[in-house]
Amino acid sequence: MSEKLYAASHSHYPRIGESDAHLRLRRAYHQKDKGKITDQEFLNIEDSYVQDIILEQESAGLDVVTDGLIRWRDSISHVLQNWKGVHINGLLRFFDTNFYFRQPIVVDDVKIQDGWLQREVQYLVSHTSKRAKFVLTGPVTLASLSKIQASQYKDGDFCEEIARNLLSRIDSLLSLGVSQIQIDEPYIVKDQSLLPVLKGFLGDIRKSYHDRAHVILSVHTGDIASVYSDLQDMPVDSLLLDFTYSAKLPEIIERDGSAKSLGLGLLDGRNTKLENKEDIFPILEKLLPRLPSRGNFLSTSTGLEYLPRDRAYNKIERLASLVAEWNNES
Amino acid sequence: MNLESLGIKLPLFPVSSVGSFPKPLSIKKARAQFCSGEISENELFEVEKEATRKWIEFQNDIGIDVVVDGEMYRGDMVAYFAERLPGFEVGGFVRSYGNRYYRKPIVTGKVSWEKPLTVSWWEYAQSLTKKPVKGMLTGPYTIMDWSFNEYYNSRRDTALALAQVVRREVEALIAAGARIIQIDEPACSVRTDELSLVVEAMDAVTRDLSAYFLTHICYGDFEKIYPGMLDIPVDNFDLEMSNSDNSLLTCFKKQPFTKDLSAGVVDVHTHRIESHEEVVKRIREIAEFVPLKQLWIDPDCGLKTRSVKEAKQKLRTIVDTVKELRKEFH
Ligand SMILES: [Zn+2]
Repeated sequence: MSEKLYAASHSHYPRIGESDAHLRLRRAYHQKDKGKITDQEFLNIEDSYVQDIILEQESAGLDVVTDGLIRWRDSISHVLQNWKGVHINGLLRFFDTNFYFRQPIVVDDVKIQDGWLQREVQYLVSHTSKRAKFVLTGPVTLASLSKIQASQYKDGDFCEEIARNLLSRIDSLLSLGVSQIQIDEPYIVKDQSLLPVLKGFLGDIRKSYHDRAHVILSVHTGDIASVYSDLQDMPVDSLLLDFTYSAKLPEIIERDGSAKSLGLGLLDGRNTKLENKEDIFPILEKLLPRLPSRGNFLSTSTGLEYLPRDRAYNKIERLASLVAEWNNES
Repeated sequence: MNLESLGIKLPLFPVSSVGSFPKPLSIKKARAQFCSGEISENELFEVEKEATRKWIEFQNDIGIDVVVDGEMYRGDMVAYFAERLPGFEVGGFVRSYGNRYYRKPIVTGKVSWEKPLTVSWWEYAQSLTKKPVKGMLTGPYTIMDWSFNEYYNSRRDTALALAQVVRREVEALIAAGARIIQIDEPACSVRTDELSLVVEAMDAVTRDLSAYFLTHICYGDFEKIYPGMLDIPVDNFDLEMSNSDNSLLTCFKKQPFTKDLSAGVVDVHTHRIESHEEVVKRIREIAEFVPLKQLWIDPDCGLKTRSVKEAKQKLRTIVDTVKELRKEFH
């Protein structure tokens, strides 16, 4: 990566807007529930919708795109659904957002299923000319937000079990040609007791695949200031950080620097207000000299599904134009 | 403020409701007809008035002590105010879970209060009963948290600006004769670091005004905000006790509950109608921790998600049970 700073999609993206074209996925869900379209017909609509979301990110000018996690019911249940030993249950609030996820209930020995996420990652990779990022919720967050009823899993055991299962499948996903893998671990801000498990998991990913994909650890939806130094110990290429919870985070990074390239989540992914050059550039000026010279990127603080579709587009367009202007000026 | 000093005398264990009741089919039909242009706004208004009248009549008939208007004319508890206040724009769709979406308002300018939003409904309801009718508002912190903000510099500035708006509505209700006013803050337990802001904003709403204030908080992480939440300057906390299976009592055990309590004793999310014995048991358990004179009884939350029949049965169960208990505790 030779550019000074690049513009990257964070993770998820809104799946509904105001126009007929933007409402077609929602309608397809209703039709599928009522048995009016077949699973294959639904999949065709979903595929074309994912294609639109990828194109939308490309046309906004992002350098790294995701599939918007459009196929995911939520970032917890989608990853664990269809695993042996797991049931998907009722709704729980996702951190302090007004979004609710379905909680997995662990009832027996768990096992990931064959072909897990294979098709969706394949689709992403084959439908973009930009760098494709595969986003995956990490084992700490998955384990902490699940309800464990199986007595064989105590304390951190279940987290390790998830990590083992994920590792057994990630190889086949990365071989599809993703440029980046991003592990999302918002729960690490709330509880650091499972950091050693996460470290082992990330180390294994990096050992096997680091020549093939850039490994990113993403932490968001909480105040990162207190865990920043722990994150520096994690065996990854980059850290993607949410700046919206901590006024102190820029100071800490300016003071301590970073041995890893950083994803600067400076644009608020949960508010429609558009950031200006005046909001962002002074922070870049302070922080970038303290970071490695390559591999840093600008992003939003979280995925963009918390915004209406038109506002999410405005946000990524602004993100890309800020990066272009920064690279031109510096 | 003391109820007696406001000229209101209530029996032991006053029975009330959290706010919303289910809308009858006539309203759903009239809404659809209004949206398709078949009936005028005035005709819709008449249907809403008739439904309100019927709910007041029901509350009078069964012997509810503090009456609500049932919110036949309101949809979402934040959108109702945002759609009517200068400074807000209606936002696009945002997903709440699964295939469910809602429109999230956007603060785009200085928020202000131009005219009463709920007073004519309160006056109408009060004209139909001799019992006191509660004024029902959404609190400034919750309106802030459930809206985007493009105008104010911070969450605090937004909440405090909204507090001034809510205060004007409270003043208008008091001028119309309301003496009991409920200001709901369901968002208040989500970001525990902002509890002091909830307190500050509520103080700006209620300070030096002569009314008896309640606040309803539901489905929150009470362990994290108790006893700090007792600093919210209201006289009565309306809390769900049955959904949590009275687990709030463990909080009260550690630190006494110092305010009046409206104890929710029936679950609003089940079709099942609680038995007389269950409700008695719950009230007895609560009465061990809260002085009898401080105890009001109501459902856990708004009943709008139940059928009309279920809502009426649940309210009847409460009233009948309380009538029995009054004989014993008298
Ligand atoms: Zn409630």
